[in-house]
Amino acid sequence: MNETAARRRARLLRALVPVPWLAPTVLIILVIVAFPAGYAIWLSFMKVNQIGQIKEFVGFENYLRLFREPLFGHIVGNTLTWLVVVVAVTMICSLALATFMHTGPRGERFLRFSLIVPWAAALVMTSTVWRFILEGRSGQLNRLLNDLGIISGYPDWFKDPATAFLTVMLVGVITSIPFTTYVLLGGLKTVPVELIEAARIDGATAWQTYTRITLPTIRPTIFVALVLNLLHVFNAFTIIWVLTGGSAGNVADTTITWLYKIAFTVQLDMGKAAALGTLNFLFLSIVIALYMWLSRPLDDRGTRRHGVIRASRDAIEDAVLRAAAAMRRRTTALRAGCRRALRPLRAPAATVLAILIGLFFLAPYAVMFLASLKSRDDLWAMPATYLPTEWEWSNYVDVWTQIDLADYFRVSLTIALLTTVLVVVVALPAAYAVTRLRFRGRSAFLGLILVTQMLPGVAVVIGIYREATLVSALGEYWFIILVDTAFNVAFAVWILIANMSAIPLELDEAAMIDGLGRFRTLVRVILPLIGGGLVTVVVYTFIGVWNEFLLALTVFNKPADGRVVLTVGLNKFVGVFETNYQYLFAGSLLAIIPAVILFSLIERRLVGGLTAGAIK
Amino acid sequence: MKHVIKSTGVAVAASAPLLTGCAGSPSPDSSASAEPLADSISIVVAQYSTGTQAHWQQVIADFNKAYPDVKVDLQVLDWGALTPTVNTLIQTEQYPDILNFGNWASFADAGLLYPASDVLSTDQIADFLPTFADNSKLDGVQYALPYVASINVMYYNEDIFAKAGVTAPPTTFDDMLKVCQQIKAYDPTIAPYALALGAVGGTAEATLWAYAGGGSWYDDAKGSWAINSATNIATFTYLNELKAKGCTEANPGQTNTGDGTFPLFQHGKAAMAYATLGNSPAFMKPIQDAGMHVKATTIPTNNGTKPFTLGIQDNLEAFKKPGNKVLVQEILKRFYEPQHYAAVAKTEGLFPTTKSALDITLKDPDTGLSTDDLSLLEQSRFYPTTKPGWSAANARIKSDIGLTVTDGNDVAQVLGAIQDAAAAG
Repeated sequence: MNETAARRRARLLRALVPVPWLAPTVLIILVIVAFPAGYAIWLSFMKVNQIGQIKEFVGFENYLRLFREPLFGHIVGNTLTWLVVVVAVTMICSLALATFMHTGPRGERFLRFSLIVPWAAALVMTSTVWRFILEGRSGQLNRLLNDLGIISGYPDWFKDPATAFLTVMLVGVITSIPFTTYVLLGGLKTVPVELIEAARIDGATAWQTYTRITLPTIRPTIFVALVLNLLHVFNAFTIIWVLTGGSAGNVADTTITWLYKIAFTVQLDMGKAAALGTLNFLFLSIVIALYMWLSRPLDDRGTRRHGVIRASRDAIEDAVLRAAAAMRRRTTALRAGCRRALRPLRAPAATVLAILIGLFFLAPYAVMFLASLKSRDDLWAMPATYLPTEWEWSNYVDVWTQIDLADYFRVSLTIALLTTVLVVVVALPAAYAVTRLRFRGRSAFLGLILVTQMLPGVAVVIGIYREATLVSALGEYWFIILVDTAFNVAFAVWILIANMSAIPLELDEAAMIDGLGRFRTLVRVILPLIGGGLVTVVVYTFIGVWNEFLLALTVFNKPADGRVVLTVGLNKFVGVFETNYQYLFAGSLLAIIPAVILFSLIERRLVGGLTAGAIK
Repeated sequence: MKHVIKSTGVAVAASAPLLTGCAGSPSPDSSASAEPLADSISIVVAQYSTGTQAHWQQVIADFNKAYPDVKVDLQVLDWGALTPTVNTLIQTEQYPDILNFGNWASFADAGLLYPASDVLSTDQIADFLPTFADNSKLDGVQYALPYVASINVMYYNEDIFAKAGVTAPPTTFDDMLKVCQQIKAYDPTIAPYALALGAVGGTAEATLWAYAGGGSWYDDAKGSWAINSATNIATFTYLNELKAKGCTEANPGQTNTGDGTFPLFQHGKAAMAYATLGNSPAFMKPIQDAGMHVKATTIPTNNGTKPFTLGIQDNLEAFKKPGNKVLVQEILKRFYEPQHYAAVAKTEGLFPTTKSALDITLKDPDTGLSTDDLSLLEQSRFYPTTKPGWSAANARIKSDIGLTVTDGNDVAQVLGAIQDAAAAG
């Protein structure tokens, strides 16, 4: 009996080993994210009146009223279309682009730089410049298309109900490609060259090598890219809202923008909005769970259940490949002709292509720059002018006095730096525990951090606000830093896990034999080996916080005390009766510059850091 | 909370410079001063222009001379952030002390607001123009404190009219169609009328036309909403026809003023558009800079409706909170001081709502307003803001009225859905 008690205690102690390593991450997530999520779910069962007062418990009434909405079917259809089209097109384009970049054409460096800029820019700024470009009578795109003779006239790309949704999806794809391409490029770099060469020697064609060797090898990376895209696209609010928030009707609404309308603009019904938010979360959980179940790594022995997973996975893969092969067959003749014609031009053509693609991704920011130098009259010229008629360099001087720009920079810098430090400090031990300690609840932990990425910001801000008022933390630095940490720690943990699992366990064991404790092993042995991953985490977190808008607007917005972050401060140039694009863009570019510099400095390590080891 | 309890009398003496205009007005409720003062108060207002924050800070600075220990938390929010923030504040019971928001009737109905008589002196209340004061009452009690107002009219481009051979602005719906043809014959790339029925500010334009067509949103006689009345259906069918005939820009249901109809009009790509009367910086400045010739008139009407203007009144609300009454009084007193208040209205390009401030405004040549405009003000009709369900109706009109001029929608159906939302409250 004594023996069993001792064993039980030993087992308990063993079970407790991971606790201190995981506790900081778990605590921050539970405290910051669980409360508002729970609050939203609770709210979905309450009747809330139009001015926001909570009246009574009404059971599933809000859900029932939601299902009875005549728009419900339309919105669900829109959401699925948006999700499937944007994710699929982004993945295909990014894979093609990453593959192209992996062949190492001249001009690749420029191309990489041009992908960094949109990634480093805040989405709210990028969306606004697209709105500016896609305007009807005064739009830059229409001017260009008219000059090229492609169209005549001035279509309202995002206003005309016939094209609005398509336009929004296109902008969604363009803004998702840069990050996805980087992730996939990181994966491609991990494919061993020997493997490809061996296949070539065996007489495999380029296509066969690609589909049989390259794609299966980078499957984990594709998985990461797909999940991140899925979450990001599903919860995307900014693009749709900036482009079509001012239009009557619901042509381009997804569940997220509809939720916002139900809560704040059209129906003023928080209970119903909370119900929709809860359904969103449920849907996303099911999709992700299903996807993870289907794509988890299987050993060869395999139980019957594994057999089922493998069979369905193979079936999906086969179907995709068959479709691709069929398409290839249909275009064989054309391709052969093209190839023959292009062969002598191949290298120069690749360079030209690289530069063209690069210019395409830089174009919106070039427009932003030129617009920031225009006078108010020029901004709305009909048709648009490419260059300012008078170069108003003074805009860059005035913007500092029009708003307290210097203060906003200082505040954003403080929050972004401190959050980054905190994220690294809590994510490192968590990633170490996941890769180095075998413990029950490992999947529960990974699930928990995934949850933080599944909650649409729009749905949880009310809860976070409520929480802030409970602890009197509105406008407090420590609170916004904790909130930003909670929402950014997931990505950091993922990346660090990927990087750490690539380090052989023997190294740890050697260090331990030398008498280093776990903590010193982490600091002295592992840390130096995951430099790329760490840099990625630092930069990614910094940029994420630097560009964050919604949370800061809600819980950290005290102009009287000078507590306003850059994205929120710049938004003051967007008014109902006029938008001061020149200042908005001048300020946005000033905000983008530090982010781009930071990214460019570590760009080489970034590619490796994103997917080192891939996620197991 | 341990701060010295001050009487209002001391405060008045200490803040003399701003108060010359209403010196001697009796303090509205001296018993309030027995209550300990709150140690901070919050003001949440919408950002009308980049000058909004500065004029509030002026009031606060002067207030803090008299009440150095009271912290004033000012939040100037853009319109997009205003509704979510206010909704969140109410839901979490973090009521602001002074708020600038449209939905005042619901707040008053929920018992959250001070009646005006609690926070303003009788002189101050009497100073509001009757037009605005009447529009601020719920069940005969004034709760809303008129903040700024706009008079919405139709502008036309005299240069385009002259070139197209239009001699006078259209006064009826039929006239409008004729003028439209004349302008289209002159230059088909010019939109004869720039119509803004988008989801940002569609309610103003929609109300203008609904009233012009002889209809209204609310039937006072029946005491019920009349959004889908036969008259309104006819009016919006007419607007749909205007669009179909190319008398408006391409997508009026998705177009708003600031980034839609205003630029079109300012660049001579639209011959007519609605905007507020006076030198509002967003609308008039580019026109003056370009040296264009434009004129204001009333919107064309139908069914023999008398010419009118649409008055839009924005309000402040004072929330009942322990220890804040005296402080709110002190802030509002400084805000409504005629010189200051007239300056505020000028900054925002809008009308002040008190007689004393309006006197100053009308004498100031820079405001672009004159005593002639008083008659337009007197012709003003307003939103049915005091009717139960207006906030629901307004929200629906704003978001959906543009569908009446969007292909694939049925006018009667769109108006019917808005009517249902209003009736449901």
